[in-house]
Amino acid sequence: MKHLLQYILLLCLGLSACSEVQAQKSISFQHFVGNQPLVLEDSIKNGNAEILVVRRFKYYVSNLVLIDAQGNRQSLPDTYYLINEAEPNSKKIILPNSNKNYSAIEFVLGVDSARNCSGIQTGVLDPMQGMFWTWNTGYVFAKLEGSSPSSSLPAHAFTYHIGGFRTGENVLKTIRLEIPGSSLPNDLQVKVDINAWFSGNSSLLIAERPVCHSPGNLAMKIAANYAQMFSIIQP
Amino acid sequence: MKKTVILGLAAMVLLVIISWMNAPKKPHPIAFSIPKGWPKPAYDFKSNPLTEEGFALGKKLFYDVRLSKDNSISCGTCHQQFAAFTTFDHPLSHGINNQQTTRNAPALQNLAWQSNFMADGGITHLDLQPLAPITAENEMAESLENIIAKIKADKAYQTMFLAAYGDATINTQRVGKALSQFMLLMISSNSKYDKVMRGADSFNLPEKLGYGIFQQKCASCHPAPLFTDNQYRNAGLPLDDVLKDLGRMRITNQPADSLKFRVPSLRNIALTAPYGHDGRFFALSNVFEHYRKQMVLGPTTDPQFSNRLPLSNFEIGQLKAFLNTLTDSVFIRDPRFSEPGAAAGPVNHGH
Repeated sequence: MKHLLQYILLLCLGLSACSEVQAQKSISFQHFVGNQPLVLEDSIKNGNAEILVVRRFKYYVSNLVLIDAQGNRQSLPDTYYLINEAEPNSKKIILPNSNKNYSAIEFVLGVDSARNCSGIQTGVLDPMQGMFWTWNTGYVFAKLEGSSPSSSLPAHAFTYHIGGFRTGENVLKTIRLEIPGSSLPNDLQVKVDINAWFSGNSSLLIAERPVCHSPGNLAMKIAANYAQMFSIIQP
Repeated sequence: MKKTVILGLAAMVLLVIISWMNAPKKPHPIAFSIPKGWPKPAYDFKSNPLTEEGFALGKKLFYDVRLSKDNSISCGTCHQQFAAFTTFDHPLSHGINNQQTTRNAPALQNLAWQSNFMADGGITHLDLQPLAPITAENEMAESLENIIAKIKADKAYQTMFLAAYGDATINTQRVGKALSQFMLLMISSNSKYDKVMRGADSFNLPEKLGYGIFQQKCASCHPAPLFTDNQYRNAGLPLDDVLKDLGRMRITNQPADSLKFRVPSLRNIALTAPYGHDGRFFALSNVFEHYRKQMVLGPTTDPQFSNRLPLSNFEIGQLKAFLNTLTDSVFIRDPRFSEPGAAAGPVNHGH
């Protein structure tokens, strides 16, 4: 009996030691405006030469997939992440332990329609997170708020709440990023450039459109822009 | 060796007994019975099984004024049982700080058969529906964070969440599910009309004539047994120049949906005046005048109204007699849905 217990204890220790050998890998999102790291409440200039101060920057990342050199796809379990500039811990996604190597990552920017249509969700999808329209069911997939002297709104505010999952106004974006050298580093650094919101496919001037608060054409235009905001920082 | 095994077994049995004693009592299920001849409900009961404890929690939440910012308004403030859960005699209801809502409070009944909510259908799930009035600045104006904090601080709620869900977690999802449990059981199926259909009563002559006219002129959009087809239609109500409410178009952004609103159920219609999405019709007579004379025909007006809805005075009289048979006096007095401690009948609520 005693021996058996000791054996189990040793086995447990052995197993935990083994798992420590495997590196805990992660993805970190680093927010920028051009080449300047984003600092909330700091005055910055975007690619359209408009001065702005960012107060809130949040977006949902979901359906994460790791892809190896042979094109095999490993989907991560049904997990949703709310990346929030104001919460440093939210900007790092811990990956499940694996010794495999990967050459690309893929994820959805937003919340798929199933989760939009099945009642109230919990955790980061709790409507309490302030990323949900209560009057027109649906998640705000990405939120960028602040102020700018260019804005004609009270307090020179600008607020971009981008979402929409229904046909004709769908702004779910699948983002694929190739990992340089097909070698997943321990902490993959993803650059997220806010400039893309204003100058991607079409230019968005705060002076002209300081607000987007519902799904539709403007949201689709902005989402097409911000789908270009991700790139991998070379280690 | 043998002793160790026996001791181990005894310890295990003891552990099982202790955990069984500490485990919360299982909530008591409530069967949802579908009135005879009615369609299958739209609500997914598997995701939110009805229980006595969940219903009781939902009822407490429904009548709790702490769901509003200044603790003055509950769901039941604007959804009064004696008025089939509309606001009695109000075109628009009152929000906090002497504000007004922008639409007439709809009757709460037979919600299990509805899959989109609000006059514009913008909300796609019953569990989500209460979040709109709770957070709207001109209604209850409270944040979900504050509501959860108020509920968590209340010992009675802690016990009720534990009883309803088996653990003490309190979150937005559970608040929504409990409110749904309470509202899902608000079934109105005991009007005189229902009794006639069940063969337990009979129409008098005006009611019978009215029923015939109804089937010919109204039932295409208000079909039994729910007395709504759950569609969005423009019934020729011109744009209100203050509210500027475009209805369904606000949700779909499609000009083809301009001025379309949910077809309301006509059940309990005698109790739910004023009428129209913004309560612009003071009485049923005004509704009939609208349909036969005042309807404004525009590009999105329902094609069935190309000639408006011709109705003689005689027909209107018989229709009114029939519509009165849709009043469910069992439903509006059912103590299961009554505000605890409230008097039955109209009450003064602040003016």
